[in-house]
Amino acid sequence: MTKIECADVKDRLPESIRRGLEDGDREAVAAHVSSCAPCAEEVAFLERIRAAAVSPPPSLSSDIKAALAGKIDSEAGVVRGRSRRLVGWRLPAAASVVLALGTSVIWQRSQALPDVGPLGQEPFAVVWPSDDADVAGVPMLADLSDDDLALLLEELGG
Amino acid sequence: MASPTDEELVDRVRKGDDRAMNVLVDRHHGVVFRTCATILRDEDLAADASQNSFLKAFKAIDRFRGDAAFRTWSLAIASNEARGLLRRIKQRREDALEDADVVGAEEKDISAEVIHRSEVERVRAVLADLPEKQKLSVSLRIFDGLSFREIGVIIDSTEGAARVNYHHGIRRLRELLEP
Repeated sequence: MTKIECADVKDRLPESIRRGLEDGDREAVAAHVSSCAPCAEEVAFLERIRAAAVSPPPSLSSDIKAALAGKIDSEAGVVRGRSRRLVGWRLPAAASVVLALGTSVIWQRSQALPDVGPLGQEPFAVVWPSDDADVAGVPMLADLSDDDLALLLEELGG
Repeated sequence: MASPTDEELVDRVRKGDDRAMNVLVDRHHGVVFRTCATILRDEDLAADASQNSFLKAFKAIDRFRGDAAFRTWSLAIASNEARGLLRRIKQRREDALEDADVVGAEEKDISAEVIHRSEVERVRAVLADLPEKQKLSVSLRIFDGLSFREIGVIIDSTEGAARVNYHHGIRRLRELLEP
């Protein structure tokens, strides 16, 4: 073969060693290599390189599939959760319950406030600090009786 | 019955067929792993990068237009993933190292060391020491039979540049491996 044909064959040797050529090409390349020392040497060198290919860990394929399945499940779960929360009559019903409970709590609070009465006519003016220096609250709380303090704590905690 | 093409499998994935996704993983996880390993020079990291690459590829499957083959597209994602991981590792290592001499010791010429290794280890070590575009061109061409056109996409160059990188890589391997 001519030098040009040799160059053409060399370009196809990587496919040749991987058995990746079509039947006709494979036979032509094999015929050339069998009669061409430089190309035969090139094949031997490429085979040497190819033997050094790393292989993936045996579990890699299944690990990737498991990761993909997990991701799909988690994303599907979010969608399913969202649709459950928003579907049909549930959303307006939940909103009604929240509104009713909120109104009840506010009403109860407004009724309970006057019970702070034992602290004086203007309970909040006495209890809440009006000066930055009183922010810690110690001077006022120190003046309260045990009963008043318990009542205050109950009110704040309730 | 002929096995479905990658394009047919991608269509099925878009329609929610998880089994088609698994077939694509089976077909291409080897070349994706080798590409990541070539860049990272570490098989554990390459496995992590391979997994992340497939997660990203399937997450973005609606943006895959089919201009390139699915294999080329997933390998481009994998090489980006591996390069990003390598950058982060190098940055962490640089942050951790106070003594610049230690860096110098790690980057010394490996050619003297490989003499005492097995044949396969010698080839791997010399290949790993090539510039990135050369070693990717050589490994993708010889290990997985990719065309220079495909390799050009993956190394972010032209088909001609991929061919030149391949031949330079082969010549350098000869110089280092043959007496």
